[in-house]
Amino acid sequence: MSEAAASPIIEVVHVDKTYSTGEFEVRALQDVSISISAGECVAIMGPSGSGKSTLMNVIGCLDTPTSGTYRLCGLEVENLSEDDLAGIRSTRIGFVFQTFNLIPRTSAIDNVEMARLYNWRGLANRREAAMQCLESVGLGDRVSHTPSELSGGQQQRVAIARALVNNPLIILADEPTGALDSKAGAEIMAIFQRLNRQGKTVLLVTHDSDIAQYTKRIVKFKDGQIMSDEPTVDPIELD
Amino acid sequence: MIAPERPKASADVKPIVVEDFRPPASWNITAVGLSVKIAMRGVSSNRLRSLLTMLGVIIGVGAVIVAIGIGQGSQQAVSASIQRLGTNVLTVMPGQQRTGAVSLGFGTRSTLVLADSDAILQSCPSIGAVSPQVNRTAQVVYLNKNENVTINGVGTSYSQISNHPVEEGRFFTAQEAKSRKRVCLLGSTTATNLFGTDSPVGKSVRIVEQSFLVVGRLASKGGQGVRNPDDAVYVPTQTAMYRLFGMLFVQNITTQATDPALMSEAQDEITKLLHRRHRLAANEPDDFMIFNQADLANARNEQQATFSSLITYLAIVSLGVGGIGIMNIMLVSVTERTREIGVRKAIGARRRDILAQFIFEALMLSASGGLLGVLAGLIGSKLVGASNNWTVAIQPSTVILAFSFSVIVGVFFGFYPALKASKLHPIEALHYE
Repeated sequence: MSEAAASPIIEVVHVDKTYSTGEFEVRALQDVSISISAGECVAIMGPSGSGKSTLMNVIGCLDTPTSGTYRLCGLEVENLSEDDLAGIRSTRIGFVFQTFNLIPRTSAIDNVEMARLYNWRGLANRREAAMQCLESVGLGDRVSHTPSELSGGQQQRVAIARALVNNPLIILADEPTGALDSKAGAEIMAIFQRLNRQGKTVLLVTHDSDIAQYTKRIVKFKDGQIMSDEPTVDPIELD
Repeated sequence: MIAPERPKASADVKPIVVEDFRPPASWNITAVGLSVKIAMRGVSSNRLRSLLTMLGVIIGVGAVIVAIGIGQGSQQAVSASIQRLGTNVLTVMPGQQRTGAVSLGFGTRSTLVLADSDAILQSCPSIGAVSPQVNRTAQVVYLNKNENVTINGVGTSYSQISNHPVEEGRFFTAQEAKSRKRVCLLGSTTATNLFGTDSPVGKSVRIVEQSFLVVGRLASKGGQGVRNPDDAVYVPTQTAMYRLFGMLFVQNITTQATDPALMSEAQDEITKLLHRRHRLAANEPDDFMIFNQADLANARNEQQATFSSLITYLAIVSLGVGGIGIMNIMLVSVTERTREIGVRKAIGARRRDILAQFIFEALMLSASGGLLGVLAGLIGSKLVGASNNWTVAIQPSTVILAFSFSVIVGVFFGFYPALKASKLHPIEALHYE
């Protein structure tokens, strides 16, 4: 109803992505178009190899489409240099990974602060910002713990704090609960929901329909194409 | 396709402009500082491995310092001895004796006689002074004291040529020398050993059961090892040859050119004169050798120079091996930390950020090794100098040079692994197992 008024933050238009692995050509994305508005909470679902992670990489500016257009906040990114893409990632996008990907033997706060070091406007107050982000995910008392001293759920919360520390527009999470038990997974999803309520656009890739229930919109992929794109039926609101 | 119902946007989306994410040029300087911090964390997190990796650089830099220290020390010793004797001194020595193909070394033949010395002074216009010399060690006795010293038979010009002035009394005269008088001068150490603070002039000492009148005491010249000129007795050459030791040949003839610019003329004149005097055929090799002071001093320091060049090779090899060690460990590190590189890239590290991080890590390794190597070099050169009685001269510039080698090695051998890291594709790096 108010679709026209909501300006899309992510516009993927007729995007193809082809990987060539030796002799084979894998068409990971085939003519995919999707538009996501600011403040949405979207789950991208599908079996492995369906292209959902590839779409995530394109949206996250980690990869550029083979053909088609991708606009992030109105900026066409497919022709930008690798360094410019890195700049966009550091200022606009926060990544959360399935395996947390924290830097080992490095304290939680250093892990979070690290993300500010690559953002040229994030240098000032970076320690304080890292501290605030850790507090916002409930780890204010664990700042000097190294990853090996933290549980999986705690590590993922450090990773979320790292994704937040540059105050991004979009949080991209690739199977964020895949390595966690259901209780820790629900805690992580509660954080994502809270962030979404605070205005962040949240995109998460998952193959778990229970996790998808925590989002507002579910996009299903198969064989590099979008099979369905619907609002979540009976979404679960935590907190 | 089903048109989904979309929730309302919570905020208006501000368009991105390039200036938002493209850092200004001044950022690069800040980024270098940050890279150093990040790199320091990388190195200190694996101390034992870092230390073992540094070993090659430590040895290399240490060896550079020892090699240059010994080399410069030897040069200093050479120039000091030239300083002592003057640049215009030529020493004529008998040629080397050969038994078949075996050379027995210079001075093993007896070919020089006193008359050669006189002839050089008379017939060589470029030569201003000569001193035919012999030396032996003997006992010198005064009352109940006796010392084993070098007895130097020298010419009357010795004091002038060798820059060894008389401090008290006088030098012996040409007349005294010619008539083989038993007169002597004492080196400063010998004088002190025998007479204490008393003046030796006018006293009588016994050398080889003969009584000698002390006519003077020479100034201290500064010791130089075994043949310490201060711990010696100086007598006329003729007296030494004929009265003390029964010698027919002189051991060397020290000559002084009238001007340092005439050194090569002087050498030619002496060569021609002695060739003729020794009745050598035109194609026959000389039976004598002429050295200038630099030659002599260099010959004395030959061992030191050989050692120094050996250490230089050690330094080159160690630095090379050390550099390869650093490259190896950096390649291992890049592989081990592929995922970390992927994460850093995903959250916004640019190529140059990763490049700088790994170059600085390599640099940190090699520079720490360099610092330890400087320490090792300073200690090592002290030890080498002390155990061989060599002059070792270490200047600040040597230390800086040696240390900068470690920096160069770090950057050179760290570049390839860092480049490899910076070129990793973020997605592939993230999914590396």
